[in-house]
Amino acid sequence: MEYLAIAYGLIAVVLIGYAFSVRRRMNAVQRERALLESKNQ
Amino acid sequence: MATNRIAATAAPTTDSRSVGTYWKLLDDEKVVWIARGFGIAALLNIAVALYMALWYAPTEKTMGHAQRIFYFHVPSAWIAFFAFFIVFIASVLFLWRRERKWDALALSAAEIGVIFTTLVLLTGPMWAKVAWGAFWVWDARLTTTLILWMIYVGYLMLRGTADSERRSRFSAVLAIVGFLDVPIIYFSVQLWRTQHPELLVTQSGGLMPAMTQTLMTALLSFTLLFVFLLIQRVRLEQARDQVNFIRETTE
Repeated sequence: MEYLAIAYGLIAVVLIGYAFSVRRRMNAVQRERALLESKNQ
Repeated sequence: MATNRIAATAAPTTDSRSVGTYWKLLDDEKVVWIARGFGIAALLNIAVALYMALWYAPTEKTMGHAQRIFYFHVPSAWIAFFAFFIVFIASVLFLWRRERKWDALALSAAEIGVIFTTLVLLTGPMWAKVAWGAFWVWDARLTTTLILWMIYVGYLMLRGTADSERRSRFSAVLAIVGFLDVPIIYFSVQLWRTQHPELLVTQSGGLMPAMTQTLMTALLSFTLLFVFLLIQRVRLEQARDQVNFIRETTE
């Protein structure tokens, strides 16, 4: 039972971690874009 | 469009918003909401699959509860193979058409493929410890899967080097050659004497109906999750190209 819990836990950690990583990178790109566009105006 | 070709990115046009928007569809507000819908559907489906894997599916006699790892281990492998198939097709199209959109799609699918292969390599040993008494054996299927993971981690490392068309071409060739490992993994249980079981989803033998239903639900949930992640990852790549273009024009 403990191996099942570890396996499912690892799946959750990897998938949630990756989804947040994509979101964090997207937010960083959007912030940079807003900064560049404000400089251009 | 010439502006979507890699060679043309060094000579930007005056329209900063259109350049880098090679997948126009992904910037459409409706598509953004559809992508979110895929994410919500994936979450709900994962909850159902989890319930089925833990309570609906019967406990296997010899391996006990550890066998339930199978319901997410196998879909992870299938999704990884599907992701690398997309990388393969996108890389061939990139080498043929030299359009940035195929390069971006290949990179995005490769990253997600590596994530799902990582899940296979993490969950497999947990199941193996109970079934075989060891976390890892140098079995043909396990070894070829580890090689596949290493090939595409190498691909992602290559993508991290200096931005150029040559890098895109080299990584496309690596992705195409690397995909040759996928059929080797699939047929490894038939080609060599291995400990890894061969999956039988037939009416006459193999899995019980409740087990097959659970497996298919988990596969559907990971497919929905894959579509959601792929759309988000390609949108990120597109947004990066747009920012790079704005930066180039302002400097």
